[in-house]
Amino acid sequence: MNTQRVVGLLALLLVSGAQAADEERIERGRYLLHAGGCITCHTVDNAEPEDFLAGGRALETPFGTFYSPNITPDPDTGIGHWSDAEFITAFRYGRAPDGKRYYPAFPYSAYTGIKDADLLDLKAYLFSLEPVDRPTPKHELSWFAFRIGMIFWNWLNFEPGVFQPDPEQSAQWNRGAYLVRHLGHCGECHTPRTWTGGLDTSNHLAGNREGPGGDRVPNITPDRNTGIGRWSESDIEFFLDIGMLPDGDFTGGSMGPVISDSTSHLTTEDRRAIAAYLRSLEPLPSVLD
Amino acid sequence: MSYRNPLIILLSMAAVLLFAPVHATDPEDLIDYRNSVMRAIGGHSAAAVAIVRGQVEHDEHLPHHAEALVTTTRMIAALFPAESAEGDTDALARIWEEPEAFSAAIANTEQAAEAFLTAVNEGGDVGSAMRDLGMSCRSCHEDYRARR
Repeated sequence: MNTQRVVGLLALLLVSGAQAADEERIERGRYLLHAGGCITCHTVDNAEPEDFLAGGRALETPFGTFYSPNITPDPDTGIGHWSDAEFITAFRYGRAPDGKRYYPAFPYSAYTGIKDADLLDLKAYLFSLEPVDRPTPKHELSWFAFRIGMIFWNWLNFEPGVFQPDPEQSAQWNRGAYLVRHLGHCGECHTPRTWTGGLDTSNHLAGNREGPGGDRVPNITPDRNTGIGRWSESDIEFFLDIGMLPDGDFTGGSMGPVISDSTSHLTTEDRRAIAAYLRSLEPLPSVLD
Repeated sequence: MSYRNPLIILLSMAAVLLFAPVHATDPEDLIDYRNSVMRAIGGHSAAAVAIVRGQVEHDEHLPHHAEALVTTTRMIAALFPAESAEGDTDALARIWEEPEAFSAAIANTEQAAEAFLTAVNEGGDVGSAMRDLGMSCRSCHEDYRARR
């Protein structure tokens, strides 16, 4: 074998190795897309394949109606021109590439904890998609919701920082905490809000009267009477898989898409980690009662 | 015997009352009945899940729960008459606004229940058949029932 051939073969091996690494990364990104619950907000209802992640879904809140942006890699109407650093800044600090502050309809106060490596995997996946050319409709907001006000809101309600595992707790608990608090952003619906629209941290996951579309969102702390204290770890894991409550009833309303777009795609191990974390929380009485 | 005998008059009045056509059912009763049948479906579902997931050892009950699920899911189509739309119910107006889509969703659940029974009786993949049935329940609750 001559030198040229050896070099050629080596180059081929390197290229295919790099491709395999890219594919793994995209695969991990796809999983994170589900764990992060991105699809539900960034895809319209009754979507056709070309609507996937192209935004435009209306999110009605007490602060007005928000329209989710296109997150396909279209350079003009999507995120195709974003650098890695800009992508990370959006999640960690709630700032768009042009420096604008996001409204917390984009749950950056939860996403701030996502690790850089996970964000870059997610970006690799998003950039592997077909770009969709679709401009995002303008938000229709109440008079008191304005971007400059977000400086004040962030000062009150936002603490940026990546998730710090608790060394006192098990690996499973830490994985569950990461999924619940950050990727899954469960508190965005299951925790009530204060008058400024920030999460009422004294009632973490204790239910919310004003969920999406006016839904009453239940207490998921392990309180035996008003929460999920009677649910076993296996009950919670199974609920997240198919949506059945321990009494055989099925969840409806806004939790439905969370099951179909997000938790049913997770590994059993990850759903168990979520269950273990939820069961470790301080039991709180429901704010709905 | 006179036809004016009070006893005969009373008896005929009672007969009229007994065999008179039934009055329109109270919508509240329709809603309560719907909830009862749904709870029965939920009860058999939860019981079947507990067996399939190995939380209890009552394998001999499983075919009965599966049979019951086939029987009770076939009742669903009759549980949503127009007069039961208003009242103390979580059923969403969409049910009566898009009857064809709603019927298709019910048919999906009936078929999933039958597939579950077949899997139980003929030794198929019981776990995944149960999962499909559950998914069909959930998708209907997602579209047609308010969150509780």
